[in-house]
Amino acid sequence: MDALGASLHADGLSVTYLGGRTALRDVSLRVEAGERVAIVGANGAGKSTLLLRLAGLLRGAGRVLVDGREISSMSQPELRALLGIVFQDPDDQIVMPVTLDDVAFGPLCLGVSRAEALSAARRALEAVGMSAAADEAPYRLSYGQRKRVAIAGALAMGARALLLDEPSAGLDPRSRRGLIALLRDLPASLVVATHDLDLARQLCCRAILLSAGEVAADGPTHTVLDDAALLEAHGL
Amino acid sequence: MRGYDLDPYLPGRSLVHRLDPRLKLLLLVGFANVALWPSSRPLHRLALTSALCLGATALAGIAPGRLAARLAALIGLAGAAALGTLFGADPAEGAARVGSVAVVAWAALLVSASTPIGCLLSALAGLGAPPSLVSMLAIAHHLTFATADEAIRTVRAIRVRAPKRSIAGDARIVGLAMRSLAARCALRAERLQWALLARGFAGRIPTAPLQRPGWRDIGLSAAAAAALLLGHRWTR
Amino acid sequence: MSAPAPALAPAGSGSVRELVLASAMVALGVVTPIVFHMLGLGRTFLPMHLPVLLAALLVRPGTAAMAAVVTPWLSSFMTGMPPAPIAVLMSFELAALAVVASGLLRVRVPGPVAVAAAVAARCAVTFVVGSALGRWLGLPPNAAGWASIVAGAPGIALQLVTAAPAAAYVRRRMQEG
Repeated sequence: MDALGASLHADGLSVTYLGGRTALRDVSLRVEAGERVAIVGANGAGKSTLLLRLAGLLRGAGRVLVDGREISSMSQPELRALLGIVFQDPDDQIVMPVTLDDVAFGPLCLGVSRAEALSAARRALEAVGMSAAADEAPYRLSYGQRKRVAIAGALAMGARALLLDEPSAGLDPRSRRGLIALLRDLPASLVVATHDLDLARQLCCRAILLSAGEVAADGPTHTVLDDAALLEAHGL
Repeated sequence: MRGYDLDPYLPGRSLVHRLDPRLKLLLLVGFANVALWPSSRPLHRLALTSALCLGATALAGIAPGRLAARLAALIGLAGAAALGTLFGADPAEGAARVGSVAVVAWAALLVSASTPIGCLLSALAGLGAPPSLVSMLAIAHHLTFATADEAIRTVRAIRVRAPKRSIAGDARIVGLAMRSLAARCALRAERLQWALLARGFAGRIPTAPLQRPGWRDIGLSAAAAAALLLGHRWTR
Repeated sequence: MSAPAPALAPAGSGSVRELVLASAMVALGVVTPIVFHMLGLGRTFLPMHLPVLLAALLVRPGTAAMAAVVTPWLSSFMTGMPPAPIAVLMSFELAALAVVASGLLRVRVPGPVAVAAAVAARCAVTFVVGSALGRWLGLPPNAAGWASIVAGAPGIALQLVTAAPAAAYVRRRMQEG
């Protein structure tokens, strides 16, 4: 949880689904160690596909480097311990019947001993403010709480770069503020795909505007998001 | 419906709750064999197995009414089956056998009410069940809650869109809604698959290893097994 | 034709994909009877059979068979229905349904034909199981066997008409990404 963020470089990423739809076209981006970058764009712009491609969960053209190493040259345990992804719906991610067991799931899958995995899980739950829910069934937690548990699941694996898909979706204002505060305190590099432009402004120093699978703009958050004409032209 | 109708576990600290889950499963299998085995004195056997079941329920500190609620549909089935046996060669024996099916169902409910799902999964893994089977149970159990929520929303939508109650109209809407529900389940599975792969999952859900059964567990199980064997011999 | 889009996924993830997809159909198999009950459709349409058949049309025979065995057991555990001893009997019926449908699809038999053959195989197992149950209850075995099949006639019709098109629809939605 205390490790410094990892750098993330992507060159020429392209993804075409089997149905023929091209979701990403030649997308390149750089995230420096500890940096927080927002990926904004309209529905169908390719934000989620980009995150899956960056995480190595989708194959396609181009390459992704984490801390200078190509992810295709890493073993799965190495990659998963370095690069975590948190999906929009926590129910797509939380699997185990007890919260602590779910957060420990990732480290256990990587071959860590049960004692170490549980210890990492407890630290991760503490980092996201959910220690009290360790013995609860996840389905009894609120939506915002399950989001935090999902983040803890990635942190427990030691992720130094976190990819987050619409982290504030479905959260009430208070939960949203809590989430922003939590993410701001994390040392990991963050790539946040979001419609929530306010979250992007509050959390991220840089924003990348994705439109129809291509990078339409890449710059300081306030520069990109204050350009109303640019946003309008790309469906936001 | 989230969690409340679908989770059979009734927390407690009774001897039955704390009994090693592997021994519980083995006792259940033994009990089912004794209850359903052909007998020259089926009514005596039914009385004996019912007494053992009720005794175990009392030992678990679970009010019989709470288990009976889950057997409500079975009672109707059992009644119909019992009526059917009136036309059989030996109505009394037929009715006793229907009763024995109900008793075994009760015993299974007692096991699920006194054992958290995590412990059951560990027990299955400990008894040598294939890892893929245990994984499928764990993942399906988790997905059932989200699927049930979605199904409730689907039913509400059906009722709003099909107020006229014509058979053809209702059938079409129900069919389309269920087809859509199935597709959404498959898409959720795809997202869950990404999430599991991102956490290093390779097909085996990590289950908590169980401690060696203590002398109390072995003693209690031996007593239960002895009662079953003696009862079997007496009612053979 | 099995579940789409393996080419985009990381190497070695195909078995995970099938396992999770089959698990989702198992979950649907637990929920569908509840939905049918809420809509007043009862059990005559064999609601648990439909998701199992769908799983069989989407994944390989081994995974489909496992889903077929797990579905009645998980439903029994979570809802109390079917009762545990009946879940054992249903496992055999559903396993026959799943293995035949998935196996035939693997050798490129058209979907509707695979479904029809699978339903016939399931009916054969149901007859055997129903007869054995009838004999055990002291009822005329053949009558019990036929009654088991006839009671599910509406469900059989539903499976024959809807299973293959539903599987094709699900595959299409999954391919669209």
